[in-house]
Amino acid sequence: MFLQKKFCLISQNRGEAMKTLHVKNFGLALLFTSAISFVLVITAYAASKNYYGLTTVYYNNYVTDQGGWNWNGSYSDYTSPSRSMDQFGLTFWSTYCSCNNNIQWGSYISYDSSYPWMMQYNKTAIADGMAQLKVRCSTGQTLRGHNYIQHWWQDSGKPGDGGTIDYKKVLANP
Amino acid sequence: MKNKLAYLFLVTVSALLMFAGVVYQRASAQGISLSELLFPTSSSETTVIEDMSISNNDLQSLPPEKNSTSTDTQPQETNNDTVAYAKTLIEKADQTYLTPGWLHISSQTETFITASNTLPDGTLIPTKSFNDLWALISTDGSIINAVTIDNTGDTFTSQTTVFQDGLWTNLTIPELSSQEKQIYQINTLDNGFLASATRMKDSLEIQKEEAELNNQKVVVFSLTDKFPSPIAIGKSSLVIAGIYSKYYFSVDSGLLRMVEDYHVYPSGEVKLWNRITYLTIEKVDVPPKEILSYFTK
Repeated sequence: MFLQKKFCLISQNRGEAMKTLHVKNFGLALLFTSAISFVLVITAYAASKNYYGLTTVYYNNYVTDQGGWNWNGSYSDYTSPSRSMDQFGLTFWSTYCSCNNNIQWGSYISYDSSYPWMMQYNKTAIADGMAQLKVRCSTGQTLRGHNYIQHWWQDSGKPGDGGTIDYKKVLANP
Repeated sequence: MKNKLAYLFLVTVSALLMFAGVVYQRASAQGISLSELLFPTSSSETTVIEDMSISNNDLQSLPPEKNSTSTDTQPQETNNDTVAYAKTLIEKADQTYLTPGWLHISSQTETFITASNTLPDGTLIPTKSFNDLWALISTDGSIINAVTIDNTGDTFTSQTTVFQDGLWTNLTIPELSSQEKQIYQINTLDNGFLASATRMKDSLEIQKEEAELNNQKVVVFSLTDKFPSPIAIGKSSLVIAGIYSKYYFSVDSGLLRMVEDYHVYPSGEVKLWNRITYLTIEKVDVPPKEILSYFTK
């Protein structure tokens, strides 16, 4: 009797323990899957951003862009980038003009995150450089606008690494 | 209870994934950014890093516009005549210097308004630089090899790029090098004057005057590119209504000697922003050895 009771008790305790374990496992699985789904959704969201009209930057990711921003087509040779970026997950962005692929420093604006793992949003330029309203190259040189964006899920930050957005546009031919 | 939780979870995840897929598809199809699709565009909040102060001593006024005439066609003809004359002058230089062989252009660029700006790491932005372009022009007018040297006097900000086999390589900042082959061609040596003048000749007046520059007779063409509406630089007090440009061409050779760009403020006053002075434009048989050394055989 005592043994039966004990066995019963052990069984009951084991059953309770098993129930607790199941609930715990289920909770962990739920949490894990939610996290993965969230990451997938965010990645899909960010990857779906259309970079139509953006220009390329080949330099340390300092870009100011608002998703739909592009080089101002209203004025020949003019650039009018804004100074904030609203793309999700941004870690690096920069914009500048180049003459024959030599960067024109006066047009350089940049943002650099010290915490690339953070999923940042709507960052503002912290550089002192002011984007020139107009950059004029010496005669015979091609003026290009550059725009470079890197997100936290990208690895090397260099063009061709599978995720870095890299655009350039000729603004004026010699 | 457990089943209900599991069901709820599956529904939530499925909904999220479907939502992401639909939005992605819509954004791609419309060719607009996702942010534009989901959030109406609004004026950006920008942070002013620097306030640009305008020194009254540096302000000038735009040259007075010529009096309008009674006939509708006269201003049009005046601009057309100016452009035609400029074209003759510029073509003379282009036909002489844009021929097969080595072309050398040496210039000095001075920037007057960004003197106090710095790069993110605190490096002062160069306000003066010397630029050398050496380009080998082929018989079809395209450039075979070229090297562009920007010398700011500071090794950190000076740059050299080399064009060879259709690719640009920035020897100083490799990330700037081009990834795809390009065609490089120099169509004119007028620094974009004719293109601007032709574009604006029906809407704005192009002025012409003769002057002397470094003991050389020059003809100065000036035009103002007015913006549809003034543009503010970030949230600073600096508001630009347009750009006033002056092009100095040699009367004898037709070569461009100098270009000046001015910011035009809504008040009509102007301030010199940028100047490019052309020191040398020449054809050479063979460039110096140090220039040829940039090109791999």
